Amino acid sequence: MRMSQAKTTVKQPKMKMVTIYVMGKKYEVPEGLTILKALEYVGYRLIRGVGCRAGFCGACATVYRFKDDYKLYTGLACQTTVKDGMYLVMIPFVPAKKPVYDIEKLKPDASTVISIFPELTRCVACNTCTKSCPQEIQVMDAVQEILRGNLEKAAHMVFDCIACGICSMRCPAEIVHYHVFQLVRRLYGKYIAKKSKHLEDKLKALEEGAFKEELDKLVTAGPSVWKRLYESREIEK
Amino acid sequence: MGEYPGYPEEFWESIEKVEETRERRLKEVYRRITPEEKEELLRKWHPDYRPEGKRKLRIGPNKGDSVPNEVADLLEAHALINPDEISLEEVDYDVDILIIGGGGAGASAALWANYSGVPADRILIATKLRFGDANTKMAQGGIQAADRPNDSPVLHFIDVIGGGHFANKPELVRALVEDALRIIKWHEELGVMYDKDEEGNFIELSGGGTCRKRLHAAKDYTGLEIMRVLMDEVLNKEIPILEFSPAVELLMDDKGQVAGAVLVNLETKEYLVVRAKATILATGGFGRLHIQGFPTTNHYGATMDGVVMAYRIGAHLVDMDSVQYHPTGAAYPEQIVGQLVTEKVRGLGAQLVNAEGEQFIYPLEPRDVVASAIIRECYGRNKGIITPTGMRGVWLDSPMIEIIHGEGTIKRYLAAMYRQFKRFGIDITKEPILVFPTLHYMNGGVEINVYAQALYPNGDPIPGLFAAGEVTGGVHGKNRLMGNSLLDVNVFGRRAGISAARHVKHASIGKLTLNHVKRWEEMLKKEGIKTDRRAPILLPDYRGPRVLSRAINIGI
Amino acid sequence: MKKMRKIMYYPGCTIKTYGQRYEKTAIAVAKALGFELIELPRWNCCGVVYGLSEDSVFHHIAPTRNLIRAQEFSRELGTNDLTTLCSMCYHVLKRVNDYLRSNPEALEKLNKFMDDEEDYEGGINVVHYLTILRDDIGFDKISEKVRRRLNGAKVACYYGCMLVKPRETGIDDPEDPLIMDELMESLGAEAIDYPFKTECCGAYHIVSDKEIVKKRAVKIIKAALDRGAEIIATTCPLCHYNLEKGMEMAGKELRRKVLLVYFTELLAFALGLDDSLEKNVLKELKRLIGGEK
Repeated sequence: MRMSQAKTTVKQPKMKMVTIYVMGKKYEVPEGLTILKALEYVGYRLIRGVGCRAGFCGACATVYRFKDDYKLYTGLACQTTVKDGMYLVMIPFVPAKKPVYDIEKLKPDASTVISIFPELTRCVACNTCTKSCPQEIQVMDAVQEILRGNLEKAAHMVFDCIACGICSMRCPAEIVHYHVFQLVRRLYGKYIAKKSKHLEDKLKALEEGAFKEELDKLVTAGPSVWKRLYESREIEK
Repeated sequence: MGEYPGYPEEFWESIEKVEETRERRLKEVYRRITPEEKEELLRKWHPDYRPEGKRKLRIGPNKGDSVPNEVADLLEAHALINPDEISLEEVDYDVDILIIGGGGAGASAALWANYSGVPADRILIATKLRFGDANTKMAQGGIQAADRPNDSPVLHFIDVIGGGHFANKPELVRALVEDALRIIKWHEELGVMYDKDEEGNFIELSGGGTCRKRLHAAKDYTGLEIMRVLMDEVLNKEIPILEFSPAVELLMDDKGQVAGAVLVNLETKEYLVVRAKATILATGGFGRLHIQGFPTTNHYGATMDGVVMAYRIGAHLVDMDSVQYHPTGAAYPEQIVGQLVTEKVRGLGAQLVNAEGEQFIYPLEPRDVVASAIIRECYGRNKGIITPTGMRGVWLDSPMIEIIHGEGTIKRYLAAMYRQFKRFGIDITKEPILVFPTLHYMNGGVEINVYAQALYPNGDPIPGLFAAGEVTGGVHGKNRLMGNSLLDVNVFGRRAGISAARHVKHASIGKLTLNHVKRWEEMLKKEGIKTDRRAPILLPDYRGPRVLSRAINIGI
Repeated sequence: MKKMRKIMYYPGCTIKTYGQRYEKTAIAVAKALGFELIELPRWNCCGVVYGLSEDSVFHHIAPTRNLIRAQEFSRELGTNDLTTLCSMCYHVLKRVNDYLRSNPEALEKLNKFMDDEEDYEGGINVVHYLTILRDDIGFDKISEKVRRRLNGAKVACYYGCMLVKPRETGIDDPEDPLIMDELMESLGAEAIDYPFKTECCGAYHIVSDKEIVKKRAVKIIKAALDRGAEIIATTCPLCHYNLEKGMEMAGKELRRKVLLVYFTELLAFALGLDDSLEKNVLKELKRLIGGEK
């Protein structure tokens, strides 16, 4: 590790500060900032590696270490607080070509998934993916469930995936988990989950014009009528 | 994880009061607010009503209208580009449909344009950040559709128009509530994993201002789930996408049509000229303008770009005076201040409680009412909690959910929220959440008709310009209900795609021009507006104070 | 009533996707014979082919993780025995287990690498289902329980290669195994002797080079047919798949078709466990062997 050891003579403000290293360069930042806010504090105006800033979009995958600790840690920059001695880099992009498929032509089984992602069978159960996941998903177990055809179980296991890509970067079998999981979830949602009868009935009623007259009237009724209807409507408990 | 200390010492006295009153409160239902009380509450405490927060626009189609200062700043600004420095001779992309924005509305529009017969390679989606980086992904609670037996689009209509203070355009509301059923069906066919019961019917909840349970949800990741399925399908159709290439100005032609846009590659700083027979604005909201200094739930790129560009070509805006503050944004810890605490928490039974442990408003009033009530509680009645960083807030008593629906409900249906707070040492199954209103949604925007065409002030459609999603106005009136935004992006994204597809069959573009920018600059001079500001701002600037004070331009 | 002996059961991926018949009959037969197969609550793919480079820590992870799963479960169940049906799974689990038990350095290295799991202590016994039948139950006991004697049906037992090689790992003699033959005889069938009973079926070449599998399948099946076999009994879902596919591809090259079953299906048939058998398999067996219990 080559660290910028230069000491600045400028006085730091009176908050409690911690030292972080961004791609090897040393910075002092106020304690309690998230990694994302710390990067901006020290002057990065980010274009890559920022998205929702709230832990939903997976744009800010970050990898870091600490002194005298061989372990590699991972997390989302927008949700991880800086710690003294953090030595970090952001991974804004994971090269992974998404295969094109027509969901209408697929069958919801293991062989479909494996034919689109044959590298899935290379899984050696090393569990590196699970250890890297910032969403606490049992990634390896989900891969295993897919291999043996339990798509429904796998779809639920991987629901919280935000496609940050850390697992795929580290996977020695070069699996791109989040693409596999997206397919499995869609196969479940489309083919395995039951269709809603309520929705079908209501849609049929709509197409047959059951609401046309009332809506025609409502559209032209005007604010005083709407107000009356709104204030007198019954609210379901 | 795990070493974070959770709530500080000084909060615990209040938390204990909340715990003491909980059992009694489980049987309490706070009364509904009367229309007169509602008016007074909003007038006195809703940020929209603060006169210092707004000013009258001095230029453009909505001259004279009152809008928030931050909005006026951007609408009364110079363009980013100088037309004399842009060569329109060489066109970089020549397409039928240009979609500006890659969120839910942009993705829906692209798919439906494609379904309507426009070949994938004649469509181009230009996004500012990555495809999918939008407020859509962050929506948590649900999407409304009146499919249960005791519900109907008629009731949905009444809820929407009432929530919007009767200012909505009724034909847009009708389109919203009717298409809702078709959209959910489309999602089912695409494979969106909505929460369902054993029979296959959707598990639906109440939202603020709804008279029936009609929020369809996918845990508390509803927006994420819908967005990623739409993204997957757009990628399957191989519709071309240009990422990190925001539009900075719309293009027109010599026939008065909107003819595409000038994009800028954020990474190489080169401009790109895109000629298109139809342009769809799907640029989302304005959270990152931090109106009145509020934190926001919005994503990094929510800077109202579409409104700015449309305004410069003469589009009419509606309801720009109305800003939605989500009542419950996280108020602690500091790392996540402003982030969304979904309405679903209240939908599942959690009550809003002040520092003394008492309720002060019915939790499922419409958002503007609840937000105002919380602000009143903290600043008017001084019954809020003050955090170490000076933020104020009230409690959202989430542990009630475990009692009402059984242990494990939060981990199952509010998985995202549970995880978000657990990362900072707070267990929301056992401890209440500290909340305060946060800037959330742009209720108004570019006016559209039911065909998703953008309109001039006289109601005529602007040829070649369409708009869908948060960038538009008129659908939600003065206040949007929960679950109608995810609906909006799908319904009007679809309509924009279909309308644009129809339009391009007969459209033909003349000579490209940026004369409207020159005219804009002349107008600024004429109105006596002196400013350095340029718009759109594209991204907010969060660099620290020291860095900003020492920043210099070194030419690279 | 005597409490049923419980044995930990590792299914493997192929059984769950392609070999469900094998598993169903094996579980039913076990029950009838007085022991219960309890599936590990959590398991992963066995890693299939034993990494010939023994230094490769990576290729030992998947099977070792399963041994740790068994170790965790053994505390709950009160037994250290882990059984499996698939020859490939058996081979890799047994071989890795033996390797780790005899190489403390390798065991330590693997335990250190797999820091997300408890240390494997080497206490699990990997034992094949056939071995349990022969050594724990006893073929004569099984014979007593037979409800339908197999009427001298001519059964060629196909062992494949993974089950019996190498000598230290296999369940019987690598050149001339007889365990399945003896089981068949105890059921009343006539075990056919033929030269290619331990010849490799072609394994994963079915994915990349189907011709190889076809050639081998033809060789094996023809040899069995030439000596009068009516049924071929297998112990491995991959072998079963390959022989079946090979038979399909061979078409007229083979003068007649032969019924391919798992040995547990014959056992189930002999023991009268009709509910555990697939309808068309039951029909075929009745036709070939005769129906009444």
